[in-house]
Amino acid sequence: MASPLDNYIRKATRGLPRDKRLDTASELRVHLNARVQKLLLEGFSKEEAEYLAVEGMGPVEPLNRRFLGHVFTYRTGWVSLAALVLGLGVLWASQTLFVPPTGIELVSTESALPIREMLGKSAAVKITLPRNARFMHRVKKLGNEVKGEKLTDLFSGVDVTDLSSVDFLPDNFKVEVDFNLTASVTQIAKCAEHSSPFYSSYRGNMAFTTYSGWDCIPMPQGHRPDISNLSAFGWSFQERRIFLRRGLSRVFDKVHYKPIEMNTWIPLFLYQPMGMLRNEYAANEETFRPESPEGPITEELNMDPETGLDAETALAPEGAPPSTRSGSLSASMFPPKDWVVYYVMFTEDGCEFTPPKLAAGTPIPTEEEYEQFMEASDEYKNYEKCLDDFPEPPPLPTIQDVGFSDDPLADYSEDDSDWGFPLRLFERRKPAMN
Amino acid sequence: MNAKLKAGTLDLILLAVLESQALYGLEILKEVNTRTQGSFDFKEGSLYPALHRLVKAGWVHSHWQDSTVGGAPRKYYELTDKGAKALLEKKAEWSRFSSALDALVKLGLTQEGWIYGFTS
Repeated sequence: MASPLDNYIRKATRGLPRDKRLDTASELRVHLNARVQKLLLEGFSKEEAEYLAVEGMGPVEPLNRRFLGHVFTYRTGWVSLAALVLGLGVLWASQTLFVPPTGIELVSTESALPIREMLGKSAAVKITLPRNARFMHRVKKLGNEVKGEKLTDLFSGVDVTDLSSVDFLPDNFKVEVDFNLTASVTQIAKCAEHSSPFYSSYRGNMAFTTYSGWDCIPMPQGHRPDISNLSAFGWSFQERRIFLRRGLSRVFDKVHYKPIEMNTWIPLFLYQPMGMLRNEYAANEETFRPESPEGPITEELNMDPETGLDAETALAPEGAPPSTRSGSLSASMFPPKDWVVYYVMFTEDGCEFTPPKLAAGTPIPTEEEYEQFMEASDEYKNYEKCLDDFPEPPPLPTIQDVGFSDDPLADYSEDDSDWGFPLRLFERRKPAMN
Repeated sequence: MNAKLKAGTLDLILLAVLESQALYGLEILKEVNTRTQGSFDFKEGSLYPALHRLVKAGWVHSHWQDSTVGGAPRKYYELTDKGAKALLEKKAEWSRFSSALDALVKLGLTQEGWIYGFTS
């Protein structure tokens, strides 16, 4: 057991640099020993003498503080420091550990979004975005013999979507987008009351298409017949911010969650429509009756039987509610053995323009009328200028470079009631695990 | 004596005690006690941080020296030139302060006495 002198000296010199601690300890010990000797001569026992000598020195903690020159001999000082360090540690950990990795995961259709209930059967991908992704560009490419690398450039349309900002959130908050693909037949049946047309601005072989929320009324691409709207697929997405819990479950998933490169086209889906839609309508060439909340809409589909593309018409049914009276459908029919590839690209910058909404019951403007209307808008001029300044998008990667699985992830060839046509969905080929 | 007043004058006291000779800790305490007739009964432990502070300021130099009466070596403190200058300044400062305070306190006592005499 240490003597009172040793205890006192240890406490008094605690925290000092080694040299200073030893020097000070020696000095204090000389002092205390001298005091003890004096007290012993006065008749005190050794124990009493040591006790009195230490008592005569006064409280040890203030002494230690004065030697140290700071306040951390106070218990509250250490507790405060510990709390601060702990708090900073927790803050650091919460911002840097378990960061949800970026990545793309194809989701089984049956487990897709709640919105699926509204839209009907659909396929979805969960995309966990890089922090600096602000704009999502989407392209659908349609052609024959995709896997034989003879994909024709029939369609290259770019829709740009402004994503939520996460600037003020910790690093391990990321935006996750559930990207949902549905059949247009269902989408049109649920068309919002105020819709606005697609409008495309052409740059190179890309058609930059304005985004308007619910894209109910696609405009025909009359003057660029080589670039066609592909509205047989509709889409929707929900975005949310994800944090620790979701991140944890994905950290070790190296198949789906790996860095998403910015400014690069990423193939999302490979679809193989089975061609039965075309056959079906080719056989019928009558009426198409998707259900809507307001009642059935009658659409006539006229398609080019040779190419299967650009089937379009608009037929307002007599007495139909205003919200559906302006309905129009531009559908792309798929020749058998066609493939559709859906690409996305994320960028920090992008050009935005929301076309004005059309009031319910407004007759659909012709393309010329609509162009004149748009070109009178300053916002539209700014948008066009932005597109002029926007870097040319990189070329779309070939499907062979990407690789898709041979077996379909989902096969709707037997169940076409929601999609309106049968199709098969292929997932990107999973990388070989080393 | 009031602890705050002691703390404010501790440097002056220590420098003054070391003015004429080098002393070690216990001797310094004894000298202070003797010269102040026991008015400065500060805790012994507090002496050392104060001495270390003076060393750090360059006013005092310390060195270990064998004891003249046997026993362990002792750490002696002696005034440096810088410390001597500081002592002069502190003495002058104290002189001004005490004179001013004396004048104030004496005047106050006089007035108090006069008022007391008048009213009685």
